[in-house]
This record gives sequence, C-alpha cells and structure tokens, in this order.
Amino acid sequence: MITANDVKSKLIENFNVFELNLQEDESNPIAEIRREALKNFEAMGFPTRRHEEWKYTPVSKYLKYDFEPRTFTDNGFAAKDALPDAAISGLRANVLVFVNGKFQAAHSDIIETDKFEFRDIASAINAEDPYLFSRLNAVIDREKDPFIWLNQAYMRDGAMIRIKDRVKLQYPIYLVNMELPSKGNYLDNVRHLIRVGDHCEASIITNYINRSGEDRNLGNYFTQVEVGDHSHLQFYTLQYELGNGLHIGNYEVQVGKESTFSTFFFSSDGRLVRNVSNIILRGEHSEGHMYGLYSLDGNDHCDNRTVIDHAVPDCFSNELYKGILDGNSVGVFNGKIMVRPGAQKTNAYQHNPNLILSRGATLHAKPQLEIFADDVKCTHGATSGQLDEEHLFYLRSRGLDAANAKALLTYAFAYEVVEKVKIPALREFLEKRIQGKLLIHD
Amino acid sequence: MALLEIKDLYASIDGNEILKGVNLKVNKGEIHAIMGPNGSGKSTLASVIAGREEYEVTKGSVLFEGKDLLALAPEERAREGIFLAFQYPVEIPGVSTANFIKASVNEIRKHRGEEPLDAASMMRLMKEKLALVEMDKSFLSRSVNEGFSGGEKKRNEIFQMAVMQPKLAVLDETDSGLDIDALKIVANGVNKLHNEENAFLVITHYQRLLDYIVPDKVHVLLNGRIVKSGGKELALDLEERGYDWIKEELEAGAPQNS
Repeated sequence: MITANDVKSKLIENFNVFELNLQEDESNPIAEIRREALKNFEAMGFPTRRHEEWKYTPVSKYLKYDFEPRTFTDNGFAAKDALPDAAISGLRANVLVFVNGKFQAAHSDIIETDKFEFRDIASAINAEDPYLFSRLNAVIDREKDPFIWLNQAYMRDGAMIRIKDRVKLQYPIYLVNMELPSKGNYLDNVRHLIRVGDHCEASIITNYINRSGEDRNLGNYFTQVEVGDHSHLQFYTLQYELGNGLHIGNYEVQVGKESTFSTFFFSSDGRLVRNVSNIILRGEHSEGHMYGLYSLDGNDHCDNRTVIDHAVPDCFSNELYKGILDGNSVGVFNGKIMVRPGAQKTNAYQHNPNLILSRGATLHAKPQLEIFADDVKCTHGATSGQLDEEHLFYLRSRGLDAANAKALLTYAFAYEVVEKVKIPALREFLEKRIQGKLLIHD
Repeated sequence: MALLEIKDLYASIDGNEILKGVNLKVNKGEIHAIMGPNGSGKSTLASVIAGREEYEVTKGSVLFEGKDLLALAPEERAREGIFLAFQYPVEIPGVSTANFIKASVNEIRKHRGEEPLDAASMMRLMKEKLALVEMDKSFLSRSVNEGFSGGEKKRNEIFQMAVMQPKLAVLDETDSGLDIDALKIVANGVNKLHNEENAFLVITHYQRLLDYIVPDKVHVLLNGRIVKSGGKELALDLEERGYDWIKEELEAGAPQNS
C-alpha cells in the first residue's frame, strides 16, 4: 500500500525528471526558486493528524496514490467535451481556461484586452518576467503550508493577471480550472497571480472541475492576490464539480488602503477539498468580506480555513460561512481573526451557522480570535442545528410534502449567502444549483 | 354528514394531557368560535386538527368528511381542504411569497386531479385575493413573512387561505396583536370567503374579533374540555363576566349547554 511518505519520496526523487520534461533554461532563476521550495517541502513533509492545522483533515488518508506531477496535456478533445460543464448561462466574461494545469489559448477569450494584462505563467517563466519572480520570492514564510512549497517547486502554469490603475472591468474574469482523467494518478500544481491596481473595480470567478474516476487527480492550487488602494475586488470560487477529485487551494490576499476585497466560496462536491484563505488588510480603512457556503453530501470532505489579518488600524471585516451537511459528509470550519498590535478601531465579525441534515454528517468548527490591540470590536459565533420543526410544519400545513418542505427550508438557509453574489448570471446559476430538484422554481 | 366531527378527543404533549375529551361537530356553512382562558387547550385543538406531530392523540377520533383525519400527514390534510392560520406565522427568507403559494396551490390541485395553473391564471388568482386583504402586489415578490409586521403576517395567512380555498379553516388567535384596522381587514377577508360549502373554526381569546366575524356557535374550552356552548351572545357574556362564572357553574353541577 502506498503511503504519504512514499508519495513524498517519489516526488523528491523524480524532481529531476520533472525539470527535464519542462525544458526550462538552466540559467533561468526559476531553477533556484524551485529547488529552494523543494527543500522546504522536503523538510516539512505532508501533514499528519498531529499538525493542529490538519487535525480534522487527515490528508495522508488521501495520499495513497502514486501521484505524478503532470507535464503533458493530451486532453484537447476531452477538454472540448468537458467545457460545457463550465458554462454559466447568461454570463459574459473574459474567459481563461486551464486544463490539467496548462493554459488553453484556443478555449480562452479575452474581451477587454485593453484593460488588463494576461500572461500564462509558463511563458512568464521562460521570459524571466521580473514581476513573476518578485511574487514568487514574496513567499518567504518557512512555516507555510507544505502544499504551497509543493506548488512552488512543481508549478507548471497558471494565470498572471494585472489590472491597470483606474480600470473598471465591465465583465468578470472567468478562470476555468479543469482536471481531466489520464491513465494514472496525477498531481497538477497551478499558480495564479493577480494584481489589481489602484482605483479599480473588478470581479474574478474561479471554477474548479475535476473529473477523477478510479484514477485520481490532485489539484494543488496557490493563488496570490494583491489589491491596490481605493479598489474593489470580488473574488468568487466555485467547487461544484470536484467529484472523486482531491483539491487543495491556498489563497493569499493583500488589501491596500480604502479598498474592499470580497470573497465567496461555494463548495458542494469533492472527496477532499481544502480551502485556506489568508487575507491581510494592510492599508487603513480597508474592508474584507468573506462569504462561504458548503453544502456537502455522501462522503464529501470540505475544510475551509480563513485568516483575516488586521495589520493596521481602522479596518473592517465580516465573515459569514454557512454549512449544510448531509450523508456521511465532513465539514471543517476554522476562522481566525487576527488583530495586530496597534490595529486599533478594528471591527471584525464572524459567523458560522451549520445545518446538519443527517446522523452520519460531522462538523468541526473552530473560531479563533487573536487580539493584540485594546480598542477593537470583534465577535464570533458558530452554531449547528437541524431544520426547525415549526418551519417544516408550516410548509407541510400548506400542502408541501416533507421532502419538499425540507429542500425549501434548506434553500432558504443557503440563500443568505447566495443573495450576496453581485453578478446576476452567477447568482441565478447558484440559485439553480442549490434549488436542485426543488419543487419551487421561478 | 358533518364536515368535522370530533369525538371524545384526548391529546397530550411531552406526557402532559391537554385535551381531555373534546366533542365538537361542525357542519358546512357554519362558523364556530372556540373561546377560553390561557392554557385551556385552544391552540392544542388547532394543532391536532392540522396535524402537528409533537401532539399525541391518546384517545378519541376526528373525522373530516367522514374520513379519519388523524391517519393523515399534515400535507395530506391540507390537500383534503384543511387550513390552519398560524398564531405565529413562520418567516422563510429566500423564498418569495409568489413561489411558495404557487407550490402550495399546485400541490392541492394535483391532489384533486387538476392540472397545475399556468402562470397567467396563477397571477390573476393571486392578485384577486390580494385585493381581498388589501395587500399590495409587492408582497408577492417579498420572502415569505420576512420582515413583515405582525399585522402583515396575519393578513398573509388570510391571503393564503383565500388562494387555497379550504373546506375548513382554523384560525388560531388570528386576532392577537392586531390593531383595529388590521382586525377589520382580516374579518372582512373571512366573511367574503365564507359560503355554504365551507366552515370556519375561529379560536380566540377575546370577543372583539366576533364583532366582525359573527359565529353561529360559541364554545368555551376549559381545562381541555368544551364545557359550555351557545350562540353568539355567549361571547358577549364572556366578555362581560369572564370565565369564573362558568367554573362556578361547573362546580355547582349546572347543565353544560345553554
């Protein structure tokens, strides 16, 4: 039987083969960056249950396949086949498609070419792009998640997006990330780098699709976002098509002064899904809004971790993550509010209500406050419960059967998050996804 | 055959016996009022008729059009034509009133073997009934009861009743918390819906509502039993004299029906 340690050893041993396959120039500074990252990954290894951060997500349980970093993309036809799964009816967007960790120019379509720069990371590496290296070198915390180092060592491609100052994007940027089955178990390491200038308004949607069958794909994503001053960015993440797949997503976000960053996670599928968002409010009078909705069933395992870091005074943050757990699913929520010394007049709110629909479902919720300033307002709360019998009875007394009444109330529970979505086509898409087989439709 | 026939009904919740032998017969075309002090079992009676599952019927029977009502799930009772106007209507964020009512009406139609109403007919029906309770069309797009005032919630109950056209409507303290204008609107709605084919069971604490909805019969529920029945003038007596004289009559062994 393959263990997490075997996977680790093989990754380290075969690094040379991976490098060889990429055919990067030996003098390219990326070689040093990769080796440094590999060293850090080797030192840390994969997390075990003894790691506090991984206590409820026993990742080693899922690392029992001989994952090989993918360096080929032979799924051109399959990608075309799978693309309709990413369609969001009525959404007009700047579309960027990645399949098996590799940019697909043929399936992508940028409408607003004059408003932002896009470069795929593979080209940026080969061109020795200084902005790219400055971002890669910004990952300096040795204690970081080993998956971040794994990503840095083995990154193959991704999106580098830079929105110029004083730009208001008319259409969202839609990043489609697809992993399609190949024979064998594969690891895709994808890096997205996003820089939003000053005085900007933009929204970005990322959609993850993983078509793992018996052969597994592990998608290891690392997204770095920088928001300048006086800007507004909405960042949406969709995880409805992860199926048997394994998904690790790390997000690092820095928000400048008088800016607003809003993040939305919609997770409803996946054998293993872990989203780690680290949001740093580093400019005064900035705001962080974090919304999440995880609706899990079957054997889904979804772990959402957020850190909102109030590094400077006068910032505001609000977090609402809601969970719906059915079947034998496992949900993990860990939300930390960090208030740094001197970050006075911080207002930070966090709320994590959960609806448990079955006996087999499990939820682990852990709110954390770390406050090093004395003039702040911070609140947090996590709850879990069943559907209200009185509500169910109200609906049944109007002729709806028990199943429909349950579905309707579950939808109503979820709606508080869905209604926050500001892109109409996306909101409708989500409403339909959540309503599912409900009797009630518009 | 009576529309509703309750015989020697005993019901309890969490082991506490609340109803202790209720007998009641309601015919089509009638309006009955059930009055009584707090804790006498009024809301329990409404709950048992509508099928609230936390109440356990330990004895007796309830027949609706001759059928065993107690064997039916709450939704089946609704589809058969029973409607409960809630004392505390529930808020359902994210579900528009229009969609909720549409689902409800079509479930009832399906049960009757009728086709679902098309969008235009549904809208016509809803608009017509909205006028009855003097509610604006904008109610339809608002989430069910969310952020509604107490009066709006009660009007919404009457509106739903109007759309669903039940054979038997049970109004559970629909008058509580209503100002006089809202009370008149609610009463007016009931009076307009009342016809020879349906019946109303009006549960109330106060006589006030019965100034506007005139009952054919008034029953006094005390300690889980109907201890006195009479015409509409009984409500006035209760308003004037309270319930103590009935308790005294009972203790003195006076006859229970005037």
